[in-house]
Amino acid sequence: MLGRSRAELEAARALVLNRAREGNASSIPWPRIAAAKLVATETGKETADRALQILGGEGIVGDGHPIFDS
Amino acid sequence: MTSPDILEMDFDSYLETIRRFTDEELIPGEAAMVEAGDVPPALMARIAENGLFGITLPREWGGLDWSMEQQVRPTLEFTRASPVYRSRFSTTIGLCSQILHDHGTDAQKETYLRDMATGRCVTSFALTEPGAGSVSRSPGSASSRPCWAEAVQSWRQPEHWS
Repeated sequence: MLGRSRAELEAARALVLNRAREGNASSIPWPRIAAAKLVATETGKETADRALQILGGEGIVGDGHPIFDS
Repeated sequence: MTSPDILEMDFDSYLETIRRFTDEELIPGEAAMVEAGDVPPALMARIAENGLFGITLPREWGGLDWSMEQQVRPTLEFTRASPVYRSRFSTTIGLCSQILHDHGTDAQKETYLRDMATGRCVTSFALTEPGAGSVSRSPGSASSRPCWAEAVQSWRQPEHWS
C-alpha cells in the first residue's frame, strides 16, 4: 500500500506540474487542467484512506507529518 | 506586508524560503493554531512578509509575478502544513484578485490590488441564491449595481498583522 501510494503521488504531482507549465501559454487547456484536478484529488483521497487503513486514527489526525524526499 | 528581501529574491531562493518557512514556522505552529481556533496574528504577519499573498499578481501591483508553475511549486511546500493556512490567503491570491485584475475597473484595481498583494486586504467570494448549490454558473440573478466595493471593505484586515 505504501509503495502504491508513493507511485501514485509521484504521478499526480508530475501531472499537476506538467499542466502548470502548459498554463503559462496564452491559451489555457481547460479540459487538461480539469483532468489534473481529478487525478490529484482522487489520489489524495485514496492515499489518505490507505494511511487510515495502515495506522488507524493516527493516520489522519495524529501529530505525524508526511515525509517527502523529492 | 511583503518583506523587501522577498521582492528581490530569484525563484529558487524564494522556493527554499517557503520550504523553510513551512518546516520551521507553519508546521510547528499547528497546535497553537488549533488551540486558538484561528491563525495567530503574528503568524499571519509572517505569511504576508513571505509574500504568500502576492504570488499571483504582477509586480506593478506589488505581487511577485510568478508563472503558473512557479505558483504551484511553493504551493506544494506550504500545503505540507495544515490546509487552514492556505485557506487564509487562497481566495485572495486566486478567485478575488484574479477577477479584479482581469475584469475590474482601473479605479477598483488602484483601490484594492496593492493591498491584496501584500496581505493588507483579505477577500472572499460570495456567490449564492436559493437553490444555487455548488456550481458557480447556476445562479440566475444579475446585480444592477456594483457591490464589490462594499464586500471588500468589510473584509479589510486590521493593521496589526499587515
